[in-house]
Amino acid sequence: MKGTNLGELEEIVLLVVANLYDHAYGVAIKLEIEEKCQRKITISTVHNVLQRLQEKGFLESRYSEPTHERGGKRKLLFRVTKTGQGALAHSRDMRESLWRGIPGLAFE
Amino acid sequence: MLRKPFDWMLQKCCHPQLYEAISGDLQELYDLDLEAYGQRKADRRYWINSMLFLRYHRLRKRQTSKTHNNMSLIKNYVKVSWRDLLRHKTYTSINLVGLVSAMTVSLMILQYVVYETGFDRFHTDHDRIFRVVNDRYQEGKLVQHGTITYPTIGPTLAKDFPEIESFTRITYNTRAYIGYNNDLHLTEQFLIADEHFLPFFSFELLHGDAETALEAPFQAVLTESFARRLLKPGDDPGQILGQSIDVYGAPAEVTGILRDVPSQSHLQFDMLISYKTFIAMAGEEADNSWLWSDFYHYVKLNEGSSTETLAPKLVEFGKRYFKDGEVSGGEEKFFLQPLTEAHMDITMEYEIGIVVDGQVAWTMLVIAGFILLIAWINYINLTTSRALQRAKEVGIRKSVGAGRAHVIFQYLVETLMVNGIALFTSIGLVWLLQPFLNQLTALNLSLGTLWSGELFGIPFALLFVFAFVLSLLLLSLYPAMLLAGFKAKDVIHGRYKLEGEAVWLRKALVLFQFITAIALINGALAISEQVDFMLNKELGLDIENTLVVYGPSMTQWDSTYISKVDQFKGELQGLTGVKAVSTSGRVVGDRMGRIFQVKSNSNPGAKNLALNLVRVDHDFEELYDLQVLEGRGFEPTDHNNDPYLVDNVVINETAVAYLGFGSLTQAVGASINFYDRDWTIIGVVNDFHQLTLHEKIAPIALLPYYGTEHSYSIKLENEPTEAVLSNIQQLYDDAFPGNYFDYFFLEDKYLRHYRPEMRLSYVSNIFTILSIIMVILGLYGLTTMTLEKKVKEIGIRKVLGARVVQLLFHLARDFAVLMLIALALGVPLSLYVIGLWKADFAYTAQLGIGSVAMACLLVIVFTGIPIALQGRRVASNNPVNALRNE
Repeated sequence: MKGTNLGELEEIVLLVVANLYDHAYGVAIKLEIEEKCQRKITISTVHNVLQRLQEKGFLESRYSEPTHERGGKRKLLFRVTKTGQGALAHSRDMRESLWRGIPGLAFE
Repeated sequence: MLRKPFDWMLQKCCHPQLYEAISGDLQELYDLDLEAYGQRKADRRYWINSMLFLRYHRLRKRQTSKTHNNMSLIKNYVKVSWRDLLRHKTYTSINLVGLVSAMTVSLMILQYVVYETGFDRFHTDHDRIFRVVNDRYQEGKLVQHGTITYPTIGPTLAKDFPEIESFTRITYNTRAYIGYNNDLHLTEQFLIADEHFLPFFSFELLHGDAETALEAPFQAVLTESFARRLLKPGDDPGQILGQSIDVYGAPAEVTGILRDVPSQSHLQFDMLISYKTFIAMAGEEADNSWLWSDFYHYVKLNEGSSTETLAPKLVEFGKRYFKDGEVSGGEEKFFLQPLTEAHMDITMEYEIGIVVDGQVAWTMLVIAGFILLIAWINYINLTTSRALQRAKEVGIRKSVGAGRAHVIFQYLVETLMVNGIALFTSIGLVWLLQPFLNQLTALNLSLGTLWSGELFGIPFALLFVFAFVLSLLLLSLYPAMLLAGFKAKDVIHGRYKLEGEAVWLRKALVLFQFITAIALINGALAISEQVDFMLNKELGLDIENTLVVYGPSMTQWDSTYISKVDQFKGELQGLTGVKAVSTSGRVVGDRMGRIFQVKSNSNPGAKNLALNLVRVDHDFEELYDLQVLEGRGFEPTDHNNDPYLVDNVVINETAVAYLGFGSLTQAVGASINFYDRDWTIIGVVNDFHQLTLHEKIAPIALLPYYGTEHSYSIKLENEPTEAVLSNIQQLYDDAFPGNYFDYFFLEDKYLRHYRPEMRLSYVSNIFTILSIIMVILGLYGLTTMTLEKKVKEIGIRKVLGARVVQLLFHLARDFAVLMLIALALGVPLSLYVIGLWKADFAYTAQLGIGSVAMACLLVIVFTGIPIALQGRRVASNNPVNALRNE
C-alpha cells in the first residue's frame, strides 16, 4: 500500500465523516463538503475517497436499516476508526509543529 | 425515465457490496435535483453522475493481476499499427479520405437534424402540450386538413373534457404597422393571444405579469428586440412598459416585455396583442362563432391523460357540435397534434408557425448513414484483403504466446486509431465548413447544437459516443476474427489463405456499395429532374416581371374607395415601363380562403361544396394572362361599393366539373348559392397553378371585390429600375397617405416555395458524388490487392499467349458480374423509393428511361475506370519481371 499519509481531500472527507458521526453516508458527506468547504464535489469522487480511506483502515462501514426514501435502498454508513483518529491527530500535530516553526519574520 | 439502463450498468460494474449504497445515493441526489431543477436537468445529472462512477476501477473487485502488462502491450499495438499505416500509404489514405468525408457529411447532417427535431422542447411540459387540428369532410371526401379551427373550440374542449388542464387560443395577422412616437414600425409576425398564452407556454417574460399581461382589451406584449426598434438606440427596452402604442389606429398599453422568442420555436413573433382587443375590433363573433375558422388552439393535458383515450372522444365532440355539416358546411374531425411535431409536419394547411419537411431531414440522415456504411465497407474490405500480408505478424505473435483475444484486441486498437483520427479531422473540417453549411440551410448551426442537443429524447453526446463505440466494435470484429483465426503452425509453414467465406462476404459488401451508388445516383437524378420540372412547368398564367405592392391597410374603406383605387391604377398605367396593373386579395403562390357552404343547382345531391376564393378586380385575368374559355371576364361594372350588390362570379375549369356542370357552356349563366344568396357564373377561365406544384389545382371562384388590404400587382415591361420604383412609390404615397410603401417580386416569392427541393437537390448531388468517389477509391484499393496476388498468374497467361484485352476481361469479370446483379437489384429499388418521394407532389416529372440508363452507364464507367487502369498496368508488364523472382 502506498503509504498511509492523508491527502488533502482525504483529510477533509475524514473530518466530515467525524463531524457527521452516525449519519455519514455518500450524499450527506457530499452536501456537507459543498456547504462547509464551498467546493463542488461529485458523488462518485466521494465514494472513491471513502473506499480509499477504508482500504487504508481509517474508516469502517456498515449498512443502515432499509429506508423509505432513495428507492428503499440502504445507506452505507461510515465511522472513523482508531487508526483514522490517529492519522487525523498526526496530521494536525504535524501542521502545528510546522506552523510553530515559522520564524516571526517570514510573513512580514 | 431512462434511468434503468444506467442503473443496470452500475450493477454490472460495481462491487456488489457497494452497489446498493451507490444506487441509493444516486437516487437521493436525483430526488433533490428533481425538486431543484426539474426533470430534464435531473435526468441529465443522474446520467452524468452514474457515468462518472465508471472511472474508478477500484469500485470493482480486482480479479487477477495479469493485467499489469497491458499498458506496454497497448503501446506496442499502437506502434505496430502506426508503422503499418505509414507503410501502406495508399490504403491508409483511401480509408482516411473515405472516413473523413463520410463523417464530415454525417456530422453536418446530424447538426441539421438535431436542430430541426429540437423544436419547442424548451417549453416545460412540452410533452403534454398539443395543438388542436382538424379535418373537414364533404360527401365523405377530405376537403381540408388544417390547423385552423373555430374560436369556440378551445374553451369548449376545456369545459367538456376534464383531461384538459389548460388551453390557449391564438390567431395572427401577417403584417401590421405599429405606431410609437409618431413613427410607424412594420412587424411581419405578431400573434393575437388570449390571457392564458403566457402562463401556458414558457416564453420568458422580462417585465410585466404573465397572469394579467393579456387580460384586458388593448394590451400588448413586445419582445425585447421589437421594443428596442420602437425606442431610441441605447434605451432600455423595459422603459416602454406601461406606455401606449398604436395598433391598427387604436392605442394599446404595453404590459410586458418578453425575451426574444427562441429560434427553435415554431411560433415566431415580435408582439402579442390581447385577444380581447381582437374581440373588441372584430366583434363577438371572434369569441363565439362556430363558422369563422381562423383560430389556433393549444391544449395541455393532465399528467397521466393520454391522447389515445381522448382521440375517440374528440371525434364524438365534432359530431356533437357540428351535426355532420349542418353548422359549418363540413363534417369536422378534431385531432391532437403533439407540440413537438408541429414544426416537422408539412402536410397541414394554413400553418401558423415555421414548418419544414420532416421527411427531408430524415431522408438526409438515412443517406448520410449509407455514405458512412460505404466508407466503413471500404475499411473492412481493405483490411480483410490485406489480412494475408499481416498473417506473418499474427503468426509470430501467436507463437510467442498471444491468444485469440489478444489479436482481436490489437485490431480493435487499430480500428479505434484510424477512426479516431478520422473523427477528429472531420470535427475540424465541420468547424471550417460551418459558414458554408449555415448559408445553405439559412440556420445558425454549430457543433454546440450537437453537444447540447437531443435526438429521440436522449442527449446527443451520449448517443453519439454509444453509436461510435458500437460501430467500431462491429467494424473491427470481423477483420479481427479473420486474422485471429490464422494458426501459428500454418503461417510458419507458409500455408495460409483466405477461406471462401471471407471472399464471399467481401463480394457481398462490394455489391451493397454498388447498389447504394446506383440508388443514390438515380435519386439525385430524380430530384433534380423534379426541380427542373417545377421551375419550368407552364403555370397556366404569367408571373414574369411582376411587382407586388402591399395594400394600403391603414386607409379606411369608404364609398369612394373603388374610384380612388381606379384613379391610382390609371396613374400607374400612365408611367413609362408599366404594362398593366391589377389589385387582388391574393397573388399567385398565396394560399386561398375557402367557403364551405356552396350549393349548386346542377349538383343537388351535394348539400355543401367547398370553393377557394380569390377577390380580384377586372384587370386580373388580363394581367396574369388567364384565358377566358367561355363567357366573359370581369368588367368595371361588375364591381359595386355595396358588397351585397356584387353577384357575378368567374370560376376555373376544375370548378365547372366540381360544381356538377356537364360543359363550360352549361356553367356560364348558371347560378350557384353561397353567402346566403345567389350568384351568376359569367365566365370560365383556364386552370392555373395558384399554389405550387406540390398541390393539385383546386376549384376556384374569382369574386369582383376591392379591399384596402388587397395588394397591387404591377406588370412591368422589363426588369424594374430605380426610376420606375420611385415613380410608383410617389404615386402610392400621394394616393394613400399614412401607409408604408413596401413591395416584392412575384417570381422571387413564388420560387421561394421550391427552396426545400432545390436544397435537397443540391445536397443529394453532393452525396452522390461523394459516394461514387468512395466506391471508386474502394475498388481501386481492392483491385490493387487482387492484382498483386495475381501477378504470377498474369505472367504465365501472357507467356502462354494471352493478349492484354483478354487479360483485362478476365480480371474485370468478377466485378462485372457484381455490377450486373447490383443493377438488377438497385434500379427497381431506387425507382420504388423515388415513387414514394414523388407521392408528395401533385404534379411530377416523368423520370426518363434514358436518364436512368445514363445513370447506370455512368456507374459502370466510373467503376470500370480503376479496374481498367490497374489491370492495364499489370497486364502490359513484361512477364519476365513477374516470373523471374521465383
